[in-house]
Amino acid sequence: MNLYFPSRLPAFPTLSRTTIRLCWMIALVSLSSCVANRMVPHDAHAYQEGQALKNEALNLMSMANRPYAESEAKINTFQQRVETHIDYEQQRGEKNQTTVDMWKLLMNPSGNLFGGFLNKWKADGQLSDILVDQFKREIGNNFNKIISLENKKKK
Amino acid sequence: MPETREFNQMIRNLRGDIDDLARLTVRRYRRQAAADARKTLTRMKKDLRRWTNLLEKDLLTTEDFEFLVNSQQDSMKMTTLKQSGLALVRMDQFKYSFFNLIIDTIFDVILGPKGKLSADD
Repeated sequence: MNLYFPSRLPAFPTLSRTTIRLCWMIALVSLSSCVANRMVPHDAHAYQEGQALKNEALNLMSMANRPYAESEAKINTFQQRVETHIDYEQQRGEKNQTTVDMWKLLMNPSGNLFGGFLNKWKADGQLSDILVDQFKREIGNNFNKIISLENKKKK
Repeated sequence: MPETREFNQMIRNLRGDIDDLARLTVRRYRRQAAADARKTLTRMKKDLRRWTNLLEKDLLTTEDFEFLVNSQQDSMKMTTLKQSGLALVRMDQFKYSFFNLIIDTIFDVILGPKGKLSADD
């Protein structure tokens, strides 16, 4: 018996070329979908809410040259709205942690961004026009960083 | 407005202090830390000049001034977070394009450039 050239080859099922091509396609499409994304996709609601909250925050800042007590109700409503939004961002999954961290930093009452600004307004009673003007630019820019990141996520 | 010469001297002094601070606090990464801090100072220069001017004219209190300067630190953190988020988005885009390229290339090879099965099957 010739071991190198056996007269009988094992009987493998013969696949048509079309079947082999289809298998290739399925394998490739599965491969590309299996590798997980590192960032959540774009969310139109998150983007719009980010812009709405920025406008609301800048409006509130315009009132900071008057006593805090006059705007306290509006500030509380705003803070609740932001908390709801942070919950929403958290529910988008752990791959949205960067955005969640940005919101938390922006609203941190012990920090030096919008949360800190509200805290300072409350502590000082009211703030000078000049401080408000200088700080508005800073806050606007930092809201834009969150909005811009959301805008760059895959649509 | 503070004299430009005085202001520039203040910025020069700050640069020197930054180097000392980096030497004392982050010995291991001193060069990188000092370079980052100098870059930040350059970015902040315009704001610092405006705020110093307002402080000098008593239009800002020292507390307000401190608050504004400290806000830059949190702004930097926000920028870092945004950049790291954008890096993840770019990695996803790269991966997506990479797999599309493989799929398109292989489809071209096995299906032909028109993406149709040949008639020999």
